[in-house]
Amino acid sequence: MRRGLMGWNETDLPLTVLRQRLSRLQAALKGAGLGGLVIYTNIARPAAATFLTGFTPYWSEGLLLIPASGDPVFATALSKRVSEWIRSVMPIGSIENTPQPAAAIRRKLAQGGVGRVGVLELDLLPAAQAAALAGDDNVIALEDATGLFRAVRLCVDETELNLVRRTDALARDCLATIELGGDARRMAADIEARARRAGAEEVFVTVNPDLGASKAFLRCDHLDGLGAQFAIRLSLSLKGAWLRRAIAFAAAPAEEAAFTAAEAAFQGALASGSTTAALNALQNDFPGKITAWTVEASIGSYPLETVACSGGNLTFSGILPISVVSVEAEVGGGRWYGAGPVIGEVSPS
Amino acid sequence: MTSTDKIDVSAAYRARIGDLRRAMEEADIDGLLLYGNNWHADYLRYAGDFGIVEGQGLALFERDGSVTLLLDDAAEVERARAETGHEVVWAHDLVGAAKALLLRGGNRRVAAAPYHLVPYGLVRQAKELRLSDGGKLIEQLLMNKRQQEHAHVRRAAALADRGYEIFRAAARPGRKDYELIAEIEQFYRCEGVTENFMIIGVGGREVRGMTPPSGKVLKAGDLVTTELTPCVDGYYAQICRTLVVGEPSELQCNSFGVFEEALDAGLKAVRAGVTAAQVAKAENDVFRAYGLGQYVTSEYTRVRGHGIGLFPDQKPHVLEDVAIPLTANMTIIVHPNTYHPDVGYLVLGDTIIVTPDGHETLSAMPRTLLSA
Repeated sequence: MRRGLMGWNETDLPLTVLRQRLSRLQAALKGAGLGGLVIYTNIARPAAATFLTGFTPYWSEGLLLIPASGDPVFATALSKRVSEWIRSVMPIGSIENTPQPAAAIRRKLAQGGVGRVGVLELDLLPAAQAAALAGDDNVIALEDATGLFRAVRLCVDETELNLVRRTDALARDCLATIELGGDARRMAADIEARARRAGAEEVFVTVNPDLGASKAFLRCDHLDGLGAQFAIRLSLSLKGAWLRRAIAFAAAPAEEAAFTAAEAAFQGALASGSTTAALNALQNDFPGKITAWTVEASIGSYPLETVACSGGNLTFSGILPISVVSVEAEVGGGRWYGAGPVIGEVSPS
Repeated sequence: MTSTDKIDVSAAYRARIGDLRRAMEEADIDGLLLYGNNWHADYLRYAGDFGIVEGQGLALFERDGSVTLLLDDAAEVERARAETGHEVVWAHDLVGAAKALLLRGGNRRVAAAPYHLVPYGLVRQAKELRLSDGGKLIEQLLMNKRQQEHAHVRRAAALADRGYEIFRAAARPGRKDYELIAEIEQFYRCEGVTENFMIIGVGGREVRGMTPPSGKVLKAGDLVTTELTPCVDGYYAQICRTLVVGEPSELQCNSFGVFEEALDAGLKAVRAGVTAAQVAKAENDVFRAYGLGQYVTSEYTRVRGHGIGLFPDQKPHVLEDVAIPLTANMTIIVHPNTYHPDVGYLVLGDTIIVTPDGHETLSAMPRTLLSA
């Protein structure tokens, strides 16, 4: 569950920015002839609702309705007693506390005479919510509107860039100040605590304790000692802005020098300003053999999801204003791992 | 060869899958498809012994005990491969991969659970996929506990007590609510506790419940309420306590006395065979006797306790209209948490194991209004 600092303020996320995002989405809905967009949200899939309202559920689930005209409606199974709190972190739209969020949204749609409604990631909608939303009278048609939402989501404003930059600064700070070696649990715990004390909304720290033995990044329950080469992966959210950073360490001086050079080249590539340029820089200038890479971005309900990866199994066409690039490589005779954000520019309006 | 033959697994997991296989045989179900995410990780954990953090997952549990895990987050796939002996597949298209897996199995009976959370893309093809609602098959298993599972709940309860001491020591005037949580999380990660359900309330009469931290600064006289729910090997235990920053006032002590009495009454009512409703009534009758009956309604409180195990808030919910009988070995928390009009929101509760004649309390923390 989310148990870090959750709060909204006008400085970090101005209401005017939320209204601009809403307007862009509503224009797209009207263009597609849809009466609204329904977005499902829970702690594993909060990002779309957060982008449009600032709200991230700490627990339970809910449905956000963005009507083609008018203010959003958030229907949630969280009890009425937390309405006041939701209002404090969600500055836009109305709240309906109900054990059956989809039924409440359906009533709203019916009241508005909506016949066609878009659903973000329709196939992933929980079955009970889908059944209640669709009803059994075929009055409201559900259509997948994942592409429609994505086009709006990939338009990035200065507010989002600022939040991502702050999140990245915090991630860098947390990773820069760790005491290396010894107990992997203690190391991971210290990183997490530092992030939470600085106001992180959520923190996941995993450690690959022995890069030579496995590709897996483990949680604290499977950690104890550290090998000669290890890596830390920090996933972090500050006011709904998610990113990851990972950094690899080597104990032996020769390998440490190779890892340091790899890290410098990786950071240089991330700073190139676009995902494509970063991948090109890595291909051309990385001091090691890249064995795998992934690109993650927030394009739907997931905070970060893989949108492209090596091997051609998944490709993405278009511009990603913000992404996280992760690379696995052979460096100095050992496995190396790095991850970090590529932060671009404000999208043209 | 089943998945448990490939990797060292807990006795609790062996017991769970033994029960699950028997239940599937009795129901003549060939496969059980279990959905999970970081909110509802319990069904997936029950059969897959994997605690999902990011993304979503489905586990296909076969009657022979083998498991195929489909996960849509690539890093989670590597972790699952390291932590389990299952076949683990990265399924960026979770629905598509699950369909392919089910269709490959041919003419079999597959149940899915929790059915209400299973992706629509699968359920709308339920007939073609021969998919049915498997909730009844596994819900009872999640609710009742085997003794092998108690070891984990006991350890979680001990860590809840220790975590609360950290929380109490951190609760000083001038500190922010999220800083207290940072200290607890640091302690828990050092102890190998991966998850913790935790909400907090800080203040006085204006506080109507608990939420995630919002940056409130603690000051002398504040009531600080929390539910602390660490997770050990997938099993949660919860402790609810209230402390006062500084010395409690007489009004705070007197108000809290009602909650002590209500918890005592609720616990006295617990034994195998009584219903959740009877426990709730015992707690609520105390409030009614003090003229506080309106504060045990849904306007002010959610439940008077609940089951606890692989999910921090599982059935049975302790409410006056829940007729589910308690059974021996069930693990539950009894907590008469609600708003008190004189001082604000108060909480008090302990995790217990239901026994034939009563209960065993797992917490050693005093059930008093504490101060920090």
